[in-house]
Amino acid sequence: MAEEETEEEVEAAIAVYGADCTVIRRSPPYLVVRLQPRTANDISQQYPSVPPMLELKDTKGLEDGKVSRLLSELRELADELTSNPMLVAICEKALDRLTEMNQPDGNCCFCMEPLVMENEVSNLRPFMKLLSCFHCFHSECFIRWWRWMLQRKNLDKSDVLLISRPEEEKDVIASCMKLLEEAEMKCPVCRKSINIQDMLSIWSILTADLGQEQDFLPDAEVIFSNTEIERKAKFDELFRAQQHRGGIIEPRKLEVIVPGMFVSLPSARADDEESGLASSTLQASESSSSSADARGELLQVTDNVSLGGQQTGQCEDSGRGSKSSERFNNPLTQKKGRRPNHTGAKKGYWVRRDHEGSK
Amino acid sequence: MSANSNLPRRIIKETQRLLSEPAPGISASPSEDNLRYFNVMILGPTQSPYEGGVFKLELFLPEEYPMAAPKVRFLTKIYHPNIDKLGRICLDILKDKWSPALQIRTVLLSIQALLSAPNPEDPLSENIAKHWKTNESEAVETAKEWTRLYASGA
Repeated sequence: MAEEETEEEVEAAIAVYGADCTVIRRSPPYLVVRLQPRTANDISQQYPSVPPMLELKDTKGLEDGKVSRLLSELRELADELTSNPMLVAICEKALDRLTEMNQPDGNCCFCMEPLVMENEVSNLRPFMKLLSCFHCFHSECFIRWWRWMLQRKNLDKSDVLLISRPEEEKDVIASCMKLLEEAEMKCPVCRKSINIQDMLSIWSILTADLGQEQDFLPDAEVIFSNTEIERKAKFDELFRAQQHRGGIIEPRKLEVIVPGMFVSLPSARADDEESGLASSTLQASESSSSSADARGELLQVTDNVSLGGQQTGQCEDSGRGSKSSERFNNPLTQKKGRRPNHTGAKKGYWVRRDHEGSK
Repeated sequence: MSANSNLPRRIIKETQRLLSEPAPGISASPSEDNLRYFNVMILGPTQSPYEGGVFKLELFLPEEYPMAAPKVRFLTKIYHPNIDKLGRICLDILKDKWSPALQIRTVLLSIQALLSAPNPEDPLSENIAKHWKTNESEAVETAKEWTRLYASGA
């Protein structure tokens, strides 16, 4: 064999095996060639007769459940399409599903219902997003809260509500700025201040008409299950045991709590002062149909609050001032008349307690 | 209010979850007569002066809940700088820091945490707070004594 031919062969080997071929000596030829099976780099060697291996990467932002659901759907599709071209079909399916899944996870913090219902064709309860913190809420829940906050801050009747019918964009911005300045609203989830950017993105929905919020019947089976009845019995037992040892905080003078009575909040204090014990008792007998009333007895009336012995002298009620406005300090006077309606009711609540059994 | 009264769905959801998945050391049970009124028991956290105690509280959801905070009060006597002798609790989330994103569960967990970490810098009971700041070990002893006297279970 001519030397020339040998040279050509070496060249050919280098050309064919490239980096896997190391020439140690050209003549006489001495080559080291690294050889692998031809199929070593194919992950799925028999594609498309066997479906390709699929993996999802960089899934940050996609909830774990959705990641595994998406992957199993894609694998299913790959199985179905075995022996057919499928790469584009799989990518397209992934794209479609990702688009559908591009919705917030979790519950609305106001109503605790899912923000977006699974498998719901048309989302009946639209949601909104605060642009600065990305927290999402059902629009109607957010609006209810927003209006309630404005009302509490006494801003509901001020001219800031002119944002309902602004003529021009600059009016919108001005109204939003003014409202933010006066109301200092914060995201209910993270307390980040709601800014002008958020306002501009939501102002149009803030004036939407809202239906009446619906109330529902509780599931009596859960709330009054045997476990619950047992637990209540334990509560009562504990209460009586602690009361027996003087461990229960006794109500103060005039704080007579009668099952069925209406306890007013501080704002309703003034006109409540006149109604006295007599009507409290009357109220109790009026609503004597419930089981608590049957057992209902007057809470012990003490002339002063004793917190059990000498040590207690140290514990004084120092919370007067701003803190004393809380209802528990207020003489628990009672409001005449029947239970108020939900709307326009005086602030307060009805007391029903079932553990006042022991005198 | 009877058990058959309608309630906002959120209150129903919260109640059912409180009953089915109670938080450790916390038990809350709605009153049969008023589903907005809850009997609550909180176990004194371990390694706090309240360890071994079972504290009874009452919790009431006002009409405005969840826009407005629940009303919570200790019924069992407790020696704590942020709780006064009427059982009222000084906790920011029950007042100006309330947010509708909070729940009955989170409120009760916060109260449990307050038992683990008394804060005499923001007191409701000046005298207990002073006691805490001037002689903490003695104040802790008093808290333990009160727990033993008043809050032991059954």
